[in-house]
Amino acid sequence: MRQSRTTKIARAGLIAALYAVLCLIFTSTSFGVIQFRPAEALTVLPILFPEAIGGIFAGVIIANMFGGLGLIDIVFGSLISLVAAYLTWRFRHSFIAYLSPIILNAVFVSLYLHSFFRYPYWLSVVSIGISETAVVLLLGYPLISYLKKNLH
Amino acid sequence: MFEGAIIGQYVPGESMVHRLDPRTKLILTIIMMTVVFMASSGWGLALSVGVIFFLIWLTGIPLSIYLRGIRSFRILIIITFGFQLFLVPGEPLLQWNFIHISREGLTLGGLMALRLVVVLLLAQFLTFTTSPMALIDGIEKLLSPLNKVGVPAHEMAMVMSIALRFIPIFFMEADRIIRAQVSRGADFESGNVITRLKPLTSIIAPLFIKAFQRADDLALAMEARGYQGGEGRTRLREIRLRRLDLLFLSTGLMVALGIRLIEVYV
Repeated sequence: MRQSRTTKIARAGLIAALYAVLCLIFTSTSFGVIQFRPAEALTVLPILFPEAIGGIFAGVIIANMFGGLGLIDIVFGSLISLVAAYLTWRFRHSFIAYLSPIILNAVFVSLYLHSFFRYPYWLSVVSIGISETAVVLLLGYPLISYLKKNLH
Repeated sequence: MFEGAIIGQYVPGESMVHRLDPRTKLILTIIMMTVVFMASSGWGLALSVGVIFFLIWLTGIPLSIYLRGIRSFRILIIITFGFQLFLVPGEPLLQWNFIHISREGLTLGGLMALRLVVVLLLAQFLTFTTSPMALIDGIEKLLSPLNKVGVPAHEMAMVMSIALRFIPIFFMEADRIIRAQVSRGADFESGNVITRLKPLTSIIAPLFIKAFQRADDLALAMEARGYQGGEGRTRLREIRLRRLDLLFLSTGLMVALGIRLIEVYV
């Protein structure tokens, strides 16, 4: 497979599009304190492709441009996803890769929801944590195994 | 098949706000959001909400369209209100078994719900009057000084424009895959959350594989047209700050400062 810089940009763009489309398909659950986002399954992609880091970052920005709380989500939500995706790539050979989006989203999304709208902190940590775990383990993990078999 | 997607929120128009540079609108939104979040008195809040409604009026888009957008967030607004109403301790207004509603809870609940509505209104103010492409150009320009410290602002903007271009295509593709799976007996609509999740892999995986095949073709097409990254690239529509932008920015800043001063000294 070709691996030029342009290819990486193109791939990142298509991963971003995929993230945004999945958020738009499941609009009713993807935003706010419930935050059940099937699109988050893609957060484990940096395990296989480093260019997915930028793709996920851009995808979150676009999804939050259409849905979410506007600028607050665009700025904070996407930065959290960027760090989580980077850690997933950095620790791609260990289970931390899967833990990173779960923990960072639960801890930090709750933090800004708490500081802006005073949502009970621990309640939202638990709720985001559970839905993120479900998506990462039940969708993300099988996706990675499937891609390992079918793309290489 | 899809649950009321909100794609294409942009409402084309000829208003003053539509003509502003996207950077101006981004900065105005940040200023107004800061003012609302810093408002510590009823006065400050009322004034800033007033200013936001004035901005909304300037967009020339009927208020009903804004309200329709807010309506889809009604459950979130109720949850936000409820959290404060039932969980904040204080002077009791109503006490019944384990239900306790305090004056402080009622005030805070109202304040937080109002904050949420304001944030949503501002989000719509931005996206209704600015096409996604213009918004991305604005973000790229605002981030471009960070190029010097190694932030690939151009590449990020390119990634986002590619994404925007492909969203409608993937949307249709996802629809086709879902229909194909349903016709083979896949069930996306019954069972609990966990059992509903599993068949989703059968949507995401093929979508992803297709995306990857497209990426290679796209890269080839880009390079064939001479794409070499950000350096020296020109654009079809240049964005630039005009007198109207400076007027809006300076007025916005002065109004924000004014509201803060009124809050501190009155």
